[in-house]
Amino acid sequence: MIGFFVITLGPMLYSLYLSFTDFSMLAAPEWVGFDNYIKLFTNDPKYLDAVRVTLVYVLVSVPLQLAFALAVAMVLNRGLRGLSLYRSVYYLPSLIGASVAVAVLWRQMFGSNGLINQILDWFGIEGMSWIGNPETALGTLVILNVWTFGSPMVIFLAALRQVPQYLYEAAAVDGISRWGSFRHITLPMLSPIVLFNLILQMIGAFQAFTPAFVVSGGTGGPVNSTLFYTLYLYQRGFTGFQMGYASAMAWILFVVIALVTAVNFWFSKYWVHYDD
Amino acid sequence: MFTHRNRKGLKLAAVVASAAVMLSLAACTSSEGDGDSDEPIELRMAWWGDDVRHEITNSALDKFEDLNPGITVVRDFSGFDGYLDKITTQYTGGNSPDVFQFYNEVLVEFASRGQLADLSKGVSQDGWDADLLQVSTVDGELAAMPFGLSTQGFIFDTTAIEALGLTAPSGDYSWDDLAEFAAEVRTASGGSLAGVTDLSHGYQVFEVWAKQRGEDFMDADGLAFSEKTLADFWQYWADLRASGGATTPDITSEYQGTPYDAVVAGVAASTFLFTNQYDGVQGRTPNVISLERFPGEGEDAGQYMRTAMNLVISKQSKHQEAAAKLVDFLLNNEEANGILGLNRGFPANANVIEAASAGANENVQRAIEIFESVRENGAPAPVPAPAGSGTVNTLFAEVAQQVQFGQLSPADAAKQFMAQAASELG
Repeated sequence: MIGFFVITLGPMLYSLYLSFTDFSMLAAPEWVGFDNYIKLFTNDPKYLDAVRVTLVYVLVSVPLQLAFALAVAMVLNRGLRGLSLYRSVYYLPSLIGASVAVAVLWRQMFGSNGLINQILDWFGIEGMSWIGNPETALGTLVILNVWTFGSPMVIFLAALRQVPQYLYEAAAVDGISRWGSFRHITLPMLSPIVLFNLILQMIGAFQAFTPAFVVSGGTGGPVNSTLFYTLYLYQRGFTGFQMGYASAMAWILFVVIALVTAVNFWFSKYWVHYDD
Repeated sequence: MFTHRNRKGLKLAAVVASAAVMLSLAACTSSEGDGDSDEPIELRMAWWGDDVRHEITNSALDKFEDLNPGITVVRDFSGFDGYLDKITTQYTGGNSPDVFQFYNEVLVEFASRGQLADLSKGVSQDGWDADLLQVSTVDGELAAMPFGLSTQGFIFDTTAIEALGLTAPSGDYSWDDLAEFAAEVRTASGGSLAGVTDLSHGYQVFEVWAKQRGEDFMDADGLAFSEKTLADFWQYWADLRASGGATTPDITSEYQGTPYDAVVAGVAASTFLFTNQYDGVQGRTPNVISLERFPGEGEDAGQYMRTAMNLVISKQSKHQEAAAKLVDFLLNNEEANGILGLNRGFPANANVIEAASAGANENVQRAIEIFESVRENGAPAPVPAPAGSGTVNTLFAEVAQQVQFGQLSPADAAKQFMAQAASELG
């Protein structure tokens, strides 16, 4: 409890105060009212770029990642031998996915001399620098996020084990196709878990930083195509000495994440099925 | 709920905790008195670098401790990534290092806010070039002293170029010579090798281009060049991309931070670097890499003795005198410079260059040649740019990149940059 007030709430309130100031970190903060917030929305095209990039990243990578996680979980759930081995292997990327080492690996793989281009070369296709091209750079980061499907997968797998087998047996007796039983049994039974994973992964994706920082060398380039919200916040705060401005950005992100999560919960009553 | 065992543990924890409190109280009292007494002084010094630099810096500091009993130096070293964040955060928390290595681009941000101590008080300037010190003077105080100098250079992958039956430019060569050479490399290699990395996003390259035209990138008031000069620069590179001489935009972007990696990777035949990087780059490839001065008419036009990094003292330091003693040792002591060598660039103090360059290999000798020629004939170093210049440097690369990907014409981009940079500098 004390920890919450001292370590979480205190700094949060201080950053709320800072967001109304001009604060270089090297001199005392100066009160500027709503100036930071006004500049963000009216006089900072790069900020709007960052918002756009982050929204695309969240809206594309999270559904893809969850779909992939569910698909793999279902395959593993069909009673493979050595399940625990597969489970661990697929879970590994989740443990290391947000790390600098993996982002560096990604840079190597999708670079002009990287593995991807060497494979394309076997088929006579001429590659390019996937991380250096504004049309594909964000895509490589989406793939990186999908690749870390392990943690939602493990949760899906546990949930799949909870779906009563008699439902499938009843469906089979009624002659329902496999797609039909997925659609009408598996998905509804899993829906609370889907909601849980969705909220968790969306919050994570909004705050993604390391992959973009490493892959773009801290620039968010090429042409701001990988300028994640948090990366731009970092640039303003730590390389631009505008911590007040960066604090305002952080608070907007906080409010947006809270709103998105609330909307998720609100919408969930239309599609989430609780079994009790 | 508490078992006997747990209680014992609690008792132990209480004893440990109170001991820790007493120790920290003791630490508080001992750090209050400064200087004159025989109390041991503890300085903290921070720097960034690679393993070699960590090793030599540590042994130089050992030497300092041997010569100054009573002063110990706590060493805080890391790579360059995150270095500025660390220093800034420590400043905000009121526990900055006493002495630290720092770079030019952010010097004014700290100095103009009164965070750096005046070095003219405790550090000897014997053997120092007055112009060079002028460059580090902010608001009348000597905020920093160069801890290593370098100058701009161009490298050519001679092995790859000769394999194509071509000759690398050398000695006196112009920007047009470079353009012609670059296009020839692309053709002769059947398209697989670019002649030069596209450098249109490099404000450090543009700086030389501007100086060659009698202008400058920035002065104390902000931008110091005309829109036409910038438009010409970006047009030069647009032409090189059109002729195939320069790298394609995606490759350029991949190697944006370290263009010499493109030469090491065999993607481009030449690029720009700073002379203190040359030895390291040559060491990473079996090919022979030659080091030349910048292109441009007239000997060493536009090049200058550039501060690769500075040494500064924090105003937060409680031991100003001891800190100055350490800075003086690292910059002016022959023995120290013998240990430090040329890892950070050339020493700014002419009296210690000989000690520092003893045992330099042939690559370093070549770098020294270029540097000495610039010392004779080069342009004056630019004065510190105003606060906010870091954002302008980033903006330069961003706008240039839009030209590279064909989203803006060179002329429009120049106009846009001038306007946005002016608004950033306020």
